[in-house]
Amino acid sequence: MKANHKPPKLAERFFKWYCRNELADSILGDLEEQFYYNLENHGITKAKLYYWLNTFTFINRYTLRRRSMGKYKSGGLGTMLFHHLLISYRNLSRHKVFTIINVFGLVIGLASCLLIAGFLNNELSYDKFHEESENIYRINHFFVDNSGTITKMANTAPALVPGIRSLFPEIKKATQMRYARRSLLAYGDKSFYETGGFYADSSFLEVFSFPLAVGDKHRALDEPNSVVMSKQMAAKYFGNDDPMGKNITMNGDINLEVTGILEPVPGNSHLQFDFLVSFTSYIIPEGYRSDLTSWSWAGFLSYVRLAEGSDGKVLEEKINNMYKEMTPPEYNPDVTYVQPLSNIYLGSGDLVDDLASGIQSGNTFTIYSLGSVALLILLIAGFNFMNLSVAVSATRYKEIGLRKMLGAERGSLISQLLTESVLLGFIGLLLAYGFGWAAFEYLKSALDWNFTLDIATISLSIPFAVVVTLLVGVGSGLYPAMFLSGYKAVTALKDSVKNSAGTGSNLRKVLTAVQFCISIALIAATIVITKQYQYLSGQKLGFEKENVVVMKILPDDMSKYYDAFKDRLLKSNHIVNVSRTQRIMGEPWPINMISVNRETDNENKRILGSQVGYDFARTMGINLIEGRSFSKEFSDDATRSIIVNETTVKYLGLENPIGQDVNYFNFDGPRKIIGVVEDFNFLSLHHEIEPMALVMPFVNIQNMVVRVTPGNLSEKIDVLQSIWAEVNPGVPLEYRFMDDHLDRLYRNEARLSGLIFGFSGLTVLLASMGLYGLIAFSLNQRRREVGIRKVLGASVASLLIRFTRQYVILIGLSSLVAIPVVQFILNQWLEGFAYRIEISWWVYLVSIIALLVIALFTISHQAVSAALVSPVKVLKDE
Amino acid sequence: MKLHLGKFEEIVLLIVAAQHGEAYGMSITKTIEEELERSVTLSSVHTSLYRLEEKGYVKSEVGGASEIRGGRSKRLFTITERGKESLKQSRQIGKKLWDMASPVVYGQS
Repeated sequence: MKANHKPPKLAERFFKWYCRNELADSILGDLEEQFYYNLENHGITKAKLYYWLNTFTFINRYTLRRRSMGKYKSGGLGTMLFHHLLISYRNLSRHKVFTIINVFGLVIGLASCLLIAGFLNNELSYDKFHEESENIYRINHFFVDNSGTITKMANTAPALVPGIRSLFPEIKKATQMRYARRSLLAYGDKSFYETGGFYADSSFLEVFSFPLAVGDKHRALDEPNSVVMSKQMAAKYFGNDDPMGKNITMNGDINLEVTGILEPVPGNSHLQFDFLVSFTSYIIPEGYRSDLTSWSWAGFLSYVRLAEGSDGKVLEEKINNMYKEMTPPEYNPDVTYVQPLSNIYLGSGDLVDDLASGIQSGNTFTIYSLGSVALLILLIAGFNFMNLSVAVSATRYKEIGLRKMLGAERGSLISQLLTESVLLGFIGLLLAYGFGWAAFEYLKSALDWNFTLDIATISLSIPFAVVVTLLVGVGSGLYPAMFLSGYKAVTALKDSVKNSAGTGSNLRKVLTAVQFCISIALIAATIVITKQYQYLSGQKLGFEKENVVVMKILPDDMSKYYDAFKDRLLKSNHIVNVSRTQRIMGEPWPINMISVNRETDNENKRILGSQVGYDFARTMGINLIEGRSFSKEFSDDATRSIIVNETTVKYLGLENPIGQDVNYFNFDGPRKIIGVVEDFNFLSLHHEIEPMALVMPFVNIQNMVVRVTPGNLSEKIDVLQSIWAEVNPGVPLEYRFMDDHLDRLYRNEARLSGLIFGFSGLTVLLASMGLYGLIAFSLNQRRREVGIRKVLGASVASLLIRFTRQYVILIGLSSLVAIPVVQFILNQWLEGFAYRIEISWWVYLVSIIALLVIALFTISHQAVSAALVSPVKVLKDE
Repeated sequence: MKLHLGKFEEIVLLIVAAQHGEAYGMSITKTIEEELERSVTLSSVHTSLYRLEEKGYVKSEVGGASEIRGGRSKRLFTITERGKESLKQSRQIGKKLWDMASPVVYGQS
């Protein structure tokens, strides 16, 4: 026997680690015996190898350690769990304040998360309800002008869909739509303006899964003058009668037959509509110099459903080739690209065209910011939970010590402490569902939050919520559990009081610091977002938005009654000025091309333009800085004159703009610039002021703008309506106020700032609640210290400073971390605005001071009462 | 009463009976390797022994340390009445089957 060889120590230790004590010795003996036998016969390497192999092959149910105490196991899981719950209940009710803070914090955290998750779920669920939605695409296009600006549009040419429909085999169905802007529908004595209408053909109902409740979806929109409408709309016009086959008048002279009833359009569809008119009924408006065979008129939405497995990019290529072929050589062909349906709702922020009011689009920034706020809230709630659990559990040394003495194993102690935190978590979760539901109903109305939460959606969230709660419960319970259960029984029993004050104090400091970071960041974000929103709403527009009424009037009525209506209106002393325009401020303006008539640099350039009536600038309060407005005294103003803004003058490089000939809708030859207006914001303030041109109307335009005298606005509306009723009896007048309309442009910002404000408030509240609990606890532990200090002559003030100093330092450190991060994120957000505020240093100063005030306020109550307490009281037990 | 015994278990149980009072994991392993000329891992013998103990065919006690084992004690196994019974049953079944099979196995006579 070679005495110097021994079985591998590591393998032996590994074996001892997993093997039950009562078997270990005899098996190790056998292993060793075999080792020496192998050593003799096969050499040291093999002997060791077999030893190692054996330690692994021995792992089985006979040898593995049992978790419980083997023969001494009693009762089983049920009794144990019941016992855990009982002790948890006793402990929780002993520390009522902490329990309430803990649960309440969790409820707020989880409820916020549930709400935000509901919102995010809705935002991300858009258009997924269509069958095989991954095969549906919208065909968009873009063009690049000479300055390199890329303009993307969702609308494409009317010849596109008929051209490709049966040509490319991968297209299973293709459909085109045109927004029916505003239509007056009438049945019997009921007539209403409707804005939720599209012209579409039967294939629309085949590309998309918008089921018909009544009617044949394959044929309902085939015939000219057919209409399908929503149940709701049918009820509005036909009451309880069967709407099928009834005739309804559109815009006074078109008779439509109802051929189908739509099931309600889901809220999470980017297309929202109340009725569809068969595409064959579409009549090109008077004055449009284009027809349905055009390959350049971008006014139609084109959607295709592709065969399973075909590649949208391949189709894109084919369509572009087709465009090149079909576009007349003197024009640049449009370049198309396909946009998958799943990307339309959130990915259409860069499209500039005038989409139908029924087309919804979402905002990814809102999604990211709310998602991160949800996480932060949960984090803060979890930290509170952890902090307070560690602090409170420090008072349980005696309990733990006693348990250990009576033979509790570490595992069972840990599982007991975890049961407690998970139990709290689930109590919180139950309450959170209740709270969340109540808050949702409120938020829906307060923030115009347009989504539904039904039982089905809520039940979907349950597994997710349970997992999150388990994570929070286990995550926050694990540290205290490991910490406490690790103590030796004797130490725990003997020194319980001495040890407890310092328990986990480093961890608590780190967690508190993280909470401070989050609080500072959110306070700063709230200030910046609110300031930006205020800045936008208070931004100088270059025109006067107050006291302007906008009325949409049908094209026919406009051409028949506009002059008479205007004359009558001007006679009223409530009315200051009247004009009309193709587009109003804040709507997307049509994109056109302009070029200067000169030898060099006569390229076509992109410009936005509107057709306007006489007195437009005066009605809107736009300043004319050079030249004149359109005037009846100049008969060729209608076709030969143009007014531009200052930006255009610079853009075209004109030195003497007045009298300059430019090419812009040259119907009777080039137009002359007759006036230059001061720049005004005709788009939303997300965009900078662009080059803009105004010309006299050559198509039927729909918007009348009326400036009324300041004062009671409803009185002015009565005047408008009574005069309209005299001019065109029986047709309702629809109006809105310019300022309301513009405010709606910033609805997203308003909503975001409202949400961030609310959730940041909650977060700070949670953090300060946690702080309150923590301070209350740690001061309670330091009562004796306070007593001794007071006996030795410490003043109340010096004690207060002592208590609060470390939190002030923590806040200082936290702000060093938080400020750079939040500065970066907020700057990213502000990039999205053409008109934005600068983030100045005081924002952060205010955030820090706000947090200091909140924290000190939270601390002070406890600190003062601790500092004022009589030393006798706390020291008499010693 | 039907007492189930697997093939390998039967071998182990037979050796336990044969080495009456002296049987332990390593001795059985060695015997199998030497007498049956097949290699067997220590752990499978042990597992088999524990299973037999669970079934009540053998009982074990700790005893007999030796220097070659690093001073560790052996777990010695002895066969129980129930174990003996199961061996007998197994043998009877084997015999019965042999009676039926032997004309074929040894050639039809």
